[in-house]
Amino acid sequence: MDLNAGRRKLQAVYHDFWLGSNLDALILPPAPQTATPFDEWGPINYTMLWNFLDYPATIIPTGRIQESDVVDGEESTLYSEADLKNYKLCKCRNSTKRAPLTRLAR
Amino acid sequence: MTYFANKPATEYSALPKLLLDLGAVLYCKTNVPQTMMTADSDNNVFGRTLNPSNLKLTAGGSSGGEGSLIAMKGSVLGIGTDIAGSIRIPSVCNGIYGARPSSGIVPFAGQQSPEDPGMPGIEVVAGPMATSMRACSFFMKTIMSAEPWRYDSSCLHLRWQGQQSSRKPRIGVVFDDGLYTPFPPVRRAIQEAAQKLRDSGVDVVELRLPNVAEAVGITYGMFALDGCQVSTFDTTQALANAFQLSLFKISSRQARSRKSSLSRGST
Repeated sequence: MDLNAGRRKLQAVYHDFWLGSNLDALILPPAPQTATPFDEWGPINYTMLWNFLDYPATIIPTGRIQESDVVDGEESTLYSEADLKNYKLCKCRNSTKRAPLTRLAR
Repeated sequence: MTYFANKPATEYSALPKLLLDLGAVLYCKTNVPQTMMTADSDNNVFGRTLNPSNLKLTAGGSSGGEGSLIAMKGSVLGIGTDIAGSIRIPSVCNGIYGARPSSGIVPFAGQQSPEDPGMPGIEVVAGPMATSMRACSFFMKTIMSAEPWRYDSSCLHLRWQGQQSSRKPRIGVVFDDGLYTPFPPVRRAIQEAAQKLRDSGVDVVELRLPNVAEAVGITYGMFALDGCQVSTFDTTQALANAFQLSLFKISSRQARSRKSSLSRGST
């Protein structure tokens, strides 16, 4: 599909999604990961989607990684090979220590 | 982008012009990646910005210098630019507030860009990065009350309205985008946020986002409308400049050594 036509079509889909759900705001993770080691930041879908739609989006900090945030296994991944590859980064327990946590609100 | 370090602008772009007219005091510029549109603020001129929470972690990008500075309380408010997350990724990495407004709200005209002028597609926007939501709100209110359209022809004639919800708020919660699994602490943060909203009487509804993969595919296509020729050109230019600079260093060193041998000769 043409890029401009595709964008208009999906902007209409999200318009219906928003109004159909009767929303004032939406909260979601701003990324699957917290701050990563250097040059490892992977998927940007969670932020890029709102540029595509041209919706406003705000980051709200929610604290830091805690000792109680148990690192679980790769079986927790829900999606593709790329998802699995990215999820392996969360094993770097020491390197992500004190990493800030945030959520994205629209 | 740091290629422009050797080509400084001769006049302010629209947003700093507006801020200066309002009496703002600008006291520094902060680090960005070599090419922009990268989630790590590292370049060959100023080096890598580190994360003050943990020096082994990225400060994010592209507005990573701003994120890091604000996280260590070197500033209460700064401006980032965002085309895919460049305000929000450093805000996430540094645990600060950051807002990407819709396009046409905050002036953007006149900024240096690694993109051809007038390139259509995903709109890059400027927005606040700050230590509080109050500061982000203050920034948006100040800009929107200052008739920003006088500074940038692409700004909407839209004044700050300070809207308050007239009904019980209804907030959607999305746990993942259907493509990537959030890490355990991220899942916890969203669960806790949703619970706090429910506890405070907000109507919370769980949702899944439609057509994410399709949207992502189109977005990447739109980023490459010019075949990325301009950024490739900038990088080539930067390499050429660096090469000339090293040639200059070599020739000045040769000149120095000639001079020193002359001075030796005179003694």
